[in-house]
Amino acid sequence: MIRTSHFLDDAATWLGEALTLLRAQHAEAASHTPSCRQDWNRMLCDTDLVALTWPEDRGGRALPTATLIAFHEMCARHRAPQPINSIAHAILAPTLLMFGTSEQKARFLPGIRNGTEIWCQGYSEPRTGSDLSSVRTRAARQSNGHWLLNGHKIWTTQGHLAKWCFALVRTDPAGVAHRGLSFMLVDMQAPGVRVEPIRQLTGETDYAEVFFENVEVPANQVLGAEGEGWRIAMAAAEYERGVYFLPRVVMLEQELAQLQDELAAAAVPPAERHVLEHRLQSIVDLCRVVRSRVDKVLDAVAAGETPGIEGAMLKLLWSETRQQVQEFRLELLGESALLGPEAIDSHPESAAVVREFLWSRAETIVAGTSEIQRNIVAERTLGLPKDRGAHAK
Amino acid sequence: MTTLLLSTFGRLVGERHPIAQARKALPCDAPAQQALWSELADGGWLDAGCRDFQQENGAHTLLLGEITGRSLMTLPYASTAFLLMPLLEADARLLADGLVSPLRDFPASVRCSSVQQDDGWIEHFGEAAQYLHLLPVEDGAWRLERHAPSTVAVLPGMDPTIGLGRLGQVAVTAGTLTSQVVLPVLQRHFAFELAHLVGAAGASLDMAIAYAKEREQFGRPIGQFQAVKHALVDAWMGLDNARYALRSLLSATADGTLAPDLAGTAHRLAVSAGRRACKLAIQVHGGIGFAWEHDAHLYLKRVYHLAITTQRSLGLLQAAA
Ligand SMILES: Cc1cc2nc3c(=O)[nH]c(=O)nc-3n(C[C@H](O)[C@H](O)[C@H](O)COP(=O)(O)OP(=O)(O)OC[C@H]3O[C@@H](n4cnc5c(N)ncnc54)[C@H](O)[C@@H]3O)c2cc1C
Repeated sequence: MIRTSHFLDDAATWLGEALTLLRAQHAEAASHTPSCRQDWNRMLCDTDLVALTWPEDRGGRALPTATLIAFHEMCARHRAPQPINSIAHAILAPTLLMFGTSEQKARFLPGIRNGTEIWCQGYSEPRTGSDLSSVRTRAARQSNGHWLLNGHKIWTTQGHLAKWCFALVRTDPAGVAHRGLSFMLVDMQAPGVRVEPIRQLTGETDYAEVFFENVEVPANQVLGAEGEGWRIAMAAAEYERGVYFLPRVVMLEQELAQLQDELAAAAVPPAERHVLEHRLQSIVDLCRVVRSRVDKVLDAVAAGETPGIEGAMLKLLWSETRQQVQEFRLELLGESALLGPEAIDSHPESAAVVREFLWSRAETIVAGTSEIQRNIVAERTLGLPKDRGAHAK
Repeated sequence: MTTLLLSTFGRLVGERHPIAQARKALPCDAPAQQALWSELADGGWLDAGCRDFQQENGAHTLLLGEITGRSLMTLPYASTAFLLMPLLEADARLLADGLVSPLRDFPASVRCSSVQQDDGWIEHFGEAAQYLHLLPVEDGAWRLERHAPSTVAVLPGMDPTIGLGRLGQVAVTAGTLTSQVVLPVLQRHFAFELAHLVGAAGASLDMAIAYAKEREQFGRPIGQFQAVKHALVDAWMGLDNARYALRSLLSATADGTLAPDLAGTAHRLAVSAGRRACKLAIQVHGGIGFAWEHDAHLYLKRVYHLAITTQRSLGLLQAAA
């Protein structure tokens, strides 16, 4: 039992044992696979290790955010997988708690807490990516008050596994840009929802295309007020950049440690070693800064603030530093880097590095591209004029 | 004449081996591959690394390489036309002794490496190809070993368009060659492979440039944003710098000069520019660039693959100097 009074001690004991069980089923190199992440999600839910900061009357433990942060850090240090429903835990749940009606909270929070309902995030569309305010998926109000949804989402992570999708939808056809958007909770099993998995360049299938064809969405599945979608999505993005980032930073530190070991063991001529060590040092420096930045963001989050512009900077630095680490590790593989991720059975270590290198190409694209993060910093911190088209004002 | 020559080769390869063909990763005995190989042989393209062709058209080796790279050629054209054909031309015994089978019928995959580089990875094109290992032994001599296709173990490679194999320990047969014969041939083959790399990266970048003109975000083509525009220019200039270095290397090769120093420059420039261009191409395409169905990753994987295999040849050239 995980006692609230001794939460972190109990959780630490549990973690060690639970991960041993998990690793008997899934090798560490398979931590990123959906089945491993699903099992881990179930184990966390069964042990009441989700919903830590939610209020007690919503099935939570009302623990302070600082404890949540410490728990995430602990999980990451133990190299625990990311639970499959982390989008729901980290982004949707806080958004629901903030903007949801009491009926919506009662309907949706238990499924997240119990691990029975997986969520996906339906923002991007074939023509809409960085400029989310140009979302075209539309919903029209019917005579019975419900909405009729039509449109097409893309790159929806785990869209093919999810039971629910939180989507940005245009509810006011006359609304320009981010005005007229609503934040809708869409049942992925409703008639008219079609999901087509997309294979990504690692060879795996983690995301999907989602088509909505005359999907009826009950009026009570709009979160917040009609037309308030943009504000809610931006608030949700703030949660995403807070606690959600911590495991990634810990992972980066672990990958850096691996890189250090790999370089120490690599057979390189002395002159070249000097150059490589210099390159390594600059990455070490960056990682230290990333750590200081995440600590600052977490302090702010623990104090109830949102990360704001610091989150954008952290995303930018973290993603690009991780790419450097993975590329370096790939180079140190030498000829084994000719292997593909599918060589995991015969060459697990090399194949895992190749897989992470390939995956890392996405880091500067997902959750806002590096170009967009730089624009945000330029405009909000340096006060530079906007480099954007007319309609996005 | 020469432009006609290039456009003939470009058309042949472009039509018979579009990227959709590369995606299929066909072994060399697949009918489509055999048909292309026959056309390459009939057109005299398997002789492109040999004396007469080089004397007349050697300056175009760069473009021939870029054409094969753009199409992500899935036949061992480089090692057949630029390594074995000129070696056979210099030393007919290799064929007479049966060490090498007729190249018209049996495309040849060759691993060039020293014993220190002993991992043994080789590009794999199915059972109908021949597999050889070219390596320096002592006193200016080189050995060419032949391996039975059945002893080459096949593994999943990063580049999904060509197979990855691993040579077994024991060769079926072997012969020797002199350094005077091998090194200039190796240098030209190296340059051709780098041209292939630049071609693959260039095709990837061209796709990104075209996309930047069409794709709109915030009500404008993304190519209007300087974050995109300038990055594309830098990547393009990087590849063009590599072309200059490759031209210098090829003209030294044409004079019969061994130029490990120029080879090093060409390798560093081509590899770093090639990697950068392919990564940028994915970035500029955003989410779609990360999808298996998009070609961007095929170019990336080919470029990263060649960066490694050419590193071996560079090591051989530099060690021989
Ligand atoms: C692995 C993965 C998982 C994803 N998961 C999800 C998900 O679960 N849900 C979801 O909704 N989406 C998801 N996405 C989509 C992701 O959010 C988008 O890919 C991203 O926002 C970029 O949009 P885009 O792909 O349309 O690229 P575009 O917006 O078309 O951008 C193309 C290029 O132009 C650049 N660009 C665009 N605008 C500007 C500008 N103003 N200034 C400078 N440069 C600019 C971009 O930086 C990029 O390099 C995922 C993507 C990936 C790769």
